[in-house]
Amino acid sequence: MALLDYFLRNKEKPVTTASKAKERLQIIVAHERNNRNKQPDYLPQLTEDILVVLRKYIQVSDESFSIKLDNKDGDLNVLELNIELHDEQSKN
Amino acid sequence: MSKYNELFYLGKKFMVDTNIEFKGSSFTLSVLHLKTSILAEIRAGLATKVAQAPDFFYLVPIVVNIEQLDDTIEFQAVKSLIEEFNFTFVGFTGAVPKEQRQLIRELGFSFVNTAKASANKKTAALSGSATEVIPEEAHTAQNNFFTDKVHRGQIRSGQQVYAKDQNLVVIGSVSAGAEVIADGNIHVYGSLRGRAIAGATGHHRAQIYCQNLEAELVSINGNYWLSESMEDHWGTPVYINLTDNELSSSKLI
Amino acid sequence: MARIIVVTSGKGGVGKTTSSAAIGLGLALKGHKVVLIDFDIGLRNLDLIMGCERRVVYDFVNVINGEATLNQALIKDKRVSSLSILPASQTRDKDALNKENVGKVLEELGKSYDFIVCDSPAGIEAGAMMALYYADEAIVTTNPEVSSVRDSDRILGMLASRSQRAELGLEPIKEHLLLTRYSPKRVEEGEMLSVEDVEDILSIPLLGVIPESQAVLKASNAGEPVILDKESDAGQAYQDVIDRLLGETVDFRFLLAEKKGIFSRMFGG
Repeated sequence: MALLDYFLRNKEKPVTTASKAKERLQIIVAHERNNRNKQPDYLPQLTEDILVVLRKYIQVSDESFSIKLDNKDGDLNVLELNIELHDEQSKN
Repeated sequence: MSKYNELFYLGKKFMVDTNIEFKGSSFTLSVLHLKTSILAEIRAGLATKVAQAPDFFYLVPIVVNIEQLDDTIEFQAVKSLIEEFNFTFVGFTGAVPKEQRQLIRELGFSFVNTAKASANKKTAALSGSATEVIPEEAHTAQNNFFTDKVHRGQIRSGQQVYAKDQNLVVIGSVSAGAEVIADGNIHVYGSLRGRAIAGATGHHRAQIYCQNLEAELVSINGNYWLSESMEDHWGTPVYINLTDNELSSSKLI
Repeated sequence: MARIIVVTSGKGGVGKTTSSAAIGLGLALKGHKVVLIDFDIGLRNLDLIMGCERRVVYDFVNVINGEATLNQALIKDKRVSSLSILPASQTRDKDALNKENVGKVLEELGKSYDFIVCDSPAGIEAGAMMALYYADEAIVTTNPEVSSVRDSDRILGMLASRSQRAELGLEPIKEHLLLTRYSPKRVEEGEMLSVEDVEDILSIPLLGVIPESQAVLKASNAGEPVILDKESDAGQAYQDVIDRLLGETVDFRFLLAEKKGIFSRMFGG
């Protein structure tokens, strides 16, 4: 059984459109729920501003960047910034 | 600057002046039926009636129907009496002998023809009953038919077209959920799928014509059919009229 | 000046957004500058169908309220650079859009785009009325089904009386019938209204017939408008629609039921 699984596991599971849909939905629904949970109004503008500054120094694509404001334990506000860097390229 | 166009019609020459135009129209007028020729009694009757609603009658155009009178009346006196009560006197009417009509005209008063002339001469009720004001159809124009209101294009669900004092001609179809209403006839050059109401203000001779009957409702002078009554000619070209207060449909072509 | 086309229907769920996305993309792929506007107030869909949901920062109402410029709100499509999307607002305020402010936005867009495709929401309320008000042309999306046909008729009445062209007595909006989710097999079996039936009731010129197709769901799952699926029947039918919109005469396809062989019946979909 294990041997068979080994062989079968090597074959890539095809990405069906349903699974792609689920993935997209998870992201976008989570994002929107987050927004509904009182994301501050300045967040879109903050995002834009940060992207402008970053792009002066490194190449950042829209997908490799995410920004989120988390309300942890009610007291602590955490601004989470995720940037995927590609190839360590810099603008100059 | 007026331009004169000359037209020849049946040997008669008409001059058409583009500054004015004569058109035939129908109006609904109030008719005062006199049942006594005694002026004092007429005055008493009018006084009572007008007192009930003075503003309602103020300057209302009145046609005076004299067919129930056996005696002759003083036409000028009646006119003055009418005007005393602030009515606007239009003319006399009724099914009276030709000589009397002529006399009235010679005296300088207007005689208005009614649409339906009563066949029987009613005997005068000399009980001193008050005169009655009955609203009735009296046409001031020479023609007794309506002009056509023509609508080009579909009449869609939720829309309503009302041809007031006119016939309605729809060049297009009437969708389900749409309503077409006319005081005269209704012609639909297309499919009738909505509601058609003809003779809306009381003309029982109005008719409904269409190229394809699939209506929700048809009505002539208040008598109506729903779809279920249209099975005989459903889906075919048809005309519908009122015979003895009953709707009937016939094959059109 | 831009051609303003509204994709409307009255009835919901008949394929307006699917069609707007396919048509917008199709026109852009032919080299035209196209902007797609989602006129819904509160429920955003066009961005999902176009696959740009994660790039929405500003929306239509932000632009109207002056919180963002058009350039900031417009999302350039990744596949065709001449296509941009203006997403809908998530606000529930139906007074957010009115004739004046919508008119200003359309006027500005008209300067840089050849086509403005307005994706209307369902119904006959504010969003739908705003979407059709400035239209030059209307694509009335209809399913061969009784309530859809009647709602389309109602919306046709609105197009004829509540648009700016109607109010100003200009040439009326050019109306097109787009019949979607058509199943020739069911039509032949007498279970479904045919193209002729719908044309007879609505009496507007036929723009296209889009067959019921599994490709549509796959397309929205992936965020890739179905016109990109060139193998699919729906994709090809939308391509025919584009050609007709651009003035070509194209025969109507997908009107007849396929005679499927045993293999396609076993393996096909």
